[in-house]
Amino acid sequence: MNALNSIVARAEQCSDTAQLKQLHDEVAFLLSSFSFSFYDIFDVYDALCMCHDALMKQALLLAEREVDRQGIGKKPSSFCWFVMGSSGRKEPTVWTDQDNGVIFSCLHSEKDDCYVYMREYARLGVLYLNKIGYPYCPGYVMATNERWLKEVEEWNEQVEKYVTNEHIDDIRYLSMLADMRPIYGEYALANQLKTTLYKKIAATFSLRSRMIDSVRIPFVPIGPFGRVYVERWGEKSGMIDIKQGGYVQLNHVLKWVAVQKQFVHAYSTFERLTRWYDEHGCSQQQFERIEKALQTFLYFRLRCSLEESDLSIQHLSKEEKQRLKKAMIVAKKMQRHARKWV
Amino acid sequence: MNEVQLSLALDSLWVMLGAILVIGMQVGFALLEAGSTRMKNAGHVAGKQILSFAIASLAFWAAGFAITFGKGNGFIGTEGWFLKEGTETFSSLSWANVPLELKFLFQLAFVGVSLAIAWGGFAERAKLSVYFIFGTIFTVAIYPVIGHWVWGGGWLGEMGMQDFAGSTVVHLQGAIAALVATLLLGPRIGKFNKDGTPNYIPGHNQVYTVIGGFVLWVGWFGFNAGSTMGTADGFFGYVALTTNIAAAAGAIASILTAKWLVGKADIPAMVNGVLAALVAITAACAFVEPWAAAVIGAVAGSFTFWTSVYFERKGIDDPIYAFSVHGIAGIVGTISTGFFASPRLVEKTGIGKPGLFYGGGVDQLLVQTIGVLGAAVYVAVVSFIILYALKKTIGLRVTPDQEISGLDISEHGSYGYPEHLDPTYQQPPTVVSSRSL
Repeated sequence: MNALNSIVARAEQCSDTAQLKQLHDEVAFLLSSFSFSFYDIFDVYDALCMCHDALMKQALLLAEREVDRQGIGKKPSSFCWFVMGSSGRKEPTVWTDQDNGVIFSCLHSEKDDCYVYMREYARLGVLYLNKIGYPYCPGYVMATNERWLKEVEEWNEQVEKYVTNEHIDDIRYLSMLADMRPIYGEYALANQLKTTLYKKIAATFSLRSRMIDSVRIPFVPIGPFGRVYVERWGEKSGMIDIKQGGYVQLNHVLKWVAVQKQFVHAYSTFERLTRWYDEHGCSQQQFERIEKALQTFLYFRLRCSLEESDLSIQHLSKEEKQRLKKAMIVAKKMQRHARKWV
Repeated sequence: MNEVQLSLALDSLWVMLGAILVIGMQVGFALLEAGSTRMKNAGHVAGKQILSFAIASLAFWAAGFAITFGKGNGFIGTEGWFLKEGTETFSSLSWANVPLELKFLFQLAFVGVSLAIAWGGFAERAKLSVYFIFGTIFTVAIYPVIGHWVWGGGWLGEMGMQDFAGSTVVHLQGAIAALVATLLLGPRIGKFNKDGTPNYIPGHNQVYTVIGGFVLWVGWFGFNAGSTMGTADGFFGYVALTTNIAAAAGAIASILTAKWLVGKADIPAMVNGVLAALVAITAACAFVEPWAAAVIGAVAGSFTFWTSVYFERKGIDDPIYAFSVHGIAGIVGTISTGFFASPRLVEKTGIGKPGLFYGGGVDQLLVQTIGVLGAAVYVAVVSFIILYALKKTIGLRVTPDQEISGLDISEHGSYGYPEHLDPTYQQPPTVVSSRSL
């Protein structure tokens, strides 16, 4: 774990993307040689997240310097680069793709020029991140997409639209934003937006049923008598995608719980669960079951990421199989109970 | 018209209707198989049903019927070529009060079905010439031998084997031939990856598959109820009832099994479940009570889906699951009377003994098992010899290029779906000439 911590300090010394890329590869190498278990998995993710944050921050600093050097547009008085998805939840695996956005603040009269600066900054930021080992988001959830790059007021208007409109995609965008976490720049901008977002969602009653509907899918691939539904055809035959196999369902439910309870600064799924338990939202038994399920999913997810493969059920030990099945059943029950909890 | 004439007329009409229904099952197979295979082979797969039935019609008329039902020994019939009738030539069918031509037509329909089942194992990769050669040999040297053993006065019939309409004679035979073919042909290109994992090759039209399945379900009333070949006591109604109950149970059991086993309520699995149930009840329809028909149908429908998944995992590419649907279910159905044959129905049909669950002991179970094994071994051995010889001489399989292009274009010169598949296809001119008006 100490070796991972050293990455953070070394990242700050990197002066170009090639060095950062080398460090990113080193993270993967270190983790693959590091023995971790279900029990220390939260610590492993914390250390891993710190490494990713340090690498991304340095890449974004380099991008900022480059835009400043080019002298394009007008630099806004403040801005914040934030991450979403698993990075936002402090649960990134080794190879995680980009999910990011930017919020900035500037004078109204300078807005157009600030956009020129920020677009170039976003372009370079996303490019540098890709160069150092964070692939582009296939769903285009990146700062280069105008949907995720906005000035403060426009962000507020956008959030208002997501909350009040009834477009089918809105709940997905809100779900993405609910995981936002600032990593570079003026953190207060992103935190304020997140606070506003959480308040608006919780205050909008009509969103509740849509939130509940959104956690019903994908189905947890486990059937009666604990039968796990593996991929039937193709090269992934006999495997399951652990992300869709219970992890996503579990974190979706706890995400909406966090939104309803206004746990703005509880980023990880475990932090959300802990806050929920502390506020007597769930019993100790439920807390322990969910914690164990989360440990299981995070452990297998990291293992699959290192092996760059889905999870092959037949290669699991009897104990691992049992543990996975129990975790999947917990995720399935959480989906069922979402109406009660969210 | 006196009573005798009336009885003859009614029985004849009933058998004619049965024959039409069973021959109509060729339509069901054409739709089922074409729907379950890819667009590039659709014309071929559907069209070969006509070819197959034509080959069967001529070969069965010339020799197959004589070997099946003609007077002979315990293994084959040796008289009655080209339906030439002498003294007691076709005494094995004397229980049916209809003209010989109708008996032939009805029995021909069964051969056609058995051959259609066999083609399932050849689908999407066999040469057209193989259909001609194997179809002819199957009709004269494979099907008639087992048919004679069970229905033509042969050794299995003498032992009291209960196979009312042909779970073994028709379905298991076709399925074993299909299995041998699919093993000798090997999997379709792209079916399995290098590491042995299977790929999904979906049929091109699930609606065809469903309609085909339903046509077969309706046709089965001719198959089973028609096999009474008489109307006098209305027993055909009872046979139709057990047939329908089994099919219904098979549909429900198979879709529930699919949902439980792979997490999806798979539609083709349900269609195959219906067919498997119908295959299983084919032997038992006249021997079992309705509740037992439901059990048999459910077991066959459920078990068939499981085996189809299992065989695929074991690297066997049976494109339309012919062996599972007709082979496994054929075995289940044939063996089932050893357990479920009811004393009152055994007495009525006069075939064999009651099953184990009715205190009949294991006698009938033993007979049924011997019947299944005997038929399976004979068909497997003869099919293997013929197909292996063909493989080593003219070859069984089209070239990889032809297979990739599809059998429609490579074997027949035109696509079943030209607008979709032919890159050179051009819409005809839209100019309206005076001849069009």
